[in-house]
Amino acid sequence: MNNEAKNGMACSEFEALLADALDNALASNMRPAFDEHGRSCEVCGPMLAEALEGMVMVRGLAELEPPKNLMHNILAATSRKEATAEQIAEEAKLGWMERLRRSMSPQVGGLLHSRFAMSFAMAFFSLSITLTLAGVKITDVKNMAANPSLLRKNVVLGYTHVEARVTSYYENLRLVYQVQAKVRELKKNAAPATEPGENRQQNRKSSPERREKQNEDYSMERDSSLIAQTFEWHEGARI
Amino acid sequence: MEEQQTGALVRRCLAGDAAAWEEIVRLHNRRIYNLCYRFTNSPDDAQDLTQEVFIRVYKSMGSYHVEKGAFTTWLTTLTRNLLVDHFRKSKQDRVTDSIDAGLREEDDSLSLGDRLEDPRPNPDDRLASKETQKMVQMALARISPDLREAVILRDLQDMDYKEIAQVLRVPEGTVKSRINRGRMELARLLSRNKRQASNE
Repeated sequence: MNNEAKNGMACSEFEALLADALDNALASNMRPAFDEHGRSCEVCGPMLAEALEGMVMVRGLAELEPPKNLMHNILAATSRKEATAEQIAEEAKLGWMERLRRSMSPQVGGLLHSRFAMSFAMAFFSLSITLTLAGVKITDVKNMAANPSLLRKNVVLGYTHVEARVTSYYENLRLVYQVQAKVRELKKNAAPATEPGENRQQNRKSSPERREKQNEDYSMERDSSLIAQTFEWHEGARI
Repeated sequence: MEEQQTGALVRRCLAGDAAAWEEIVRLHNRRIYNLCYRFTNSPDDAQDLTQEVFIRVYKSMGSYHVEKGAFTTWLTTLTRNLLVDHFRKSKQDRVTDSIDAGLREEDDSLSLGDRLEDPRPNPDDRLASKETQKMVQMALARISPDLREAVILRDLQDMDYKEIAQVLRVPEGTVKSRINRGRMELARLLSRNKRQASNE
């Protein structure tokens, strides 16, 4: 195709106007030049004929009737999606507890009612505290479940640990009392002897609070000595 | 007028009116099915794609605004995008399907009662017409997708150049050029097929 003008119109211009010409939408002043170019140009003439034939053939295609179940299928598919979307929106509004309860069977789900759930939570809390205090770890329980022979071993080991802790505490306490008793004994021996008269005067001068304090000291001194003696006796009995 | 009606239907549909959605499907399913069939040349694919189009429309109805453009153009754009995706996936595997299969499928679309009451021309004329239509459909399926979609939207869907340009996202000049080239290719293919048929 060339751009040489024939009958007042170039081939490129003819091609640009072709679609409008076939739709009868060409401006009236353009029509004579267009028709004349189509008749005289050996390239654009066949092009016009082919385009016209193609258009007529395609426009002759009959409109097909869609399958009868198509509309039903579309409505069914979209209503399913709508139902799913509504269900998701409804579930989003619920709490996790309610969603969990709904996902379970009705019998099991009933146990998740608030009062039962609180009881279970308290029981679980108590159990977990007890296990923590007893030094039981979840991993130990897992291992025990995997290998039952470990159960006895772990129970014995746990008992030994607890016994060792109590014994250690007991020994420390005894040492403290023994040291306390010795210190008091040393203090008592090191204190200067006082006259009975002065002592009496001091006692007379002293206030009631002071007397109470002295009584407590004597009491503690006596108790410490007594506890230390008890420990020693107990030690001797064990040996 | 029709667009105003569709706009009102869309608003009612967005408000949760199921009857409005049914009306939208009833008004447009035929056009979309035809568009899909003419592009894919397969009734099964056309049915699946039409269903997929309406599911997408239903899901994305909220993104359509009446003031942005006609609902028909929006719906056609959505269909065209789906057809392009489908074309890329299938790579036109079904273009070489036999003519007999197509004729059988078209015959199945009419029940016996419908055929008896059919007021169309006599069987011989109908057969000749069906043969021609099948040849045109086959030729349409053989031209390049760019040209095919432009020709279908103009000559079968009766859309104007501006709307087609909007759907295809190309200038109006390109649309006209593609339509011309598509029609010419069709004519050449059909004349070649006729020559081959007459030689046999």
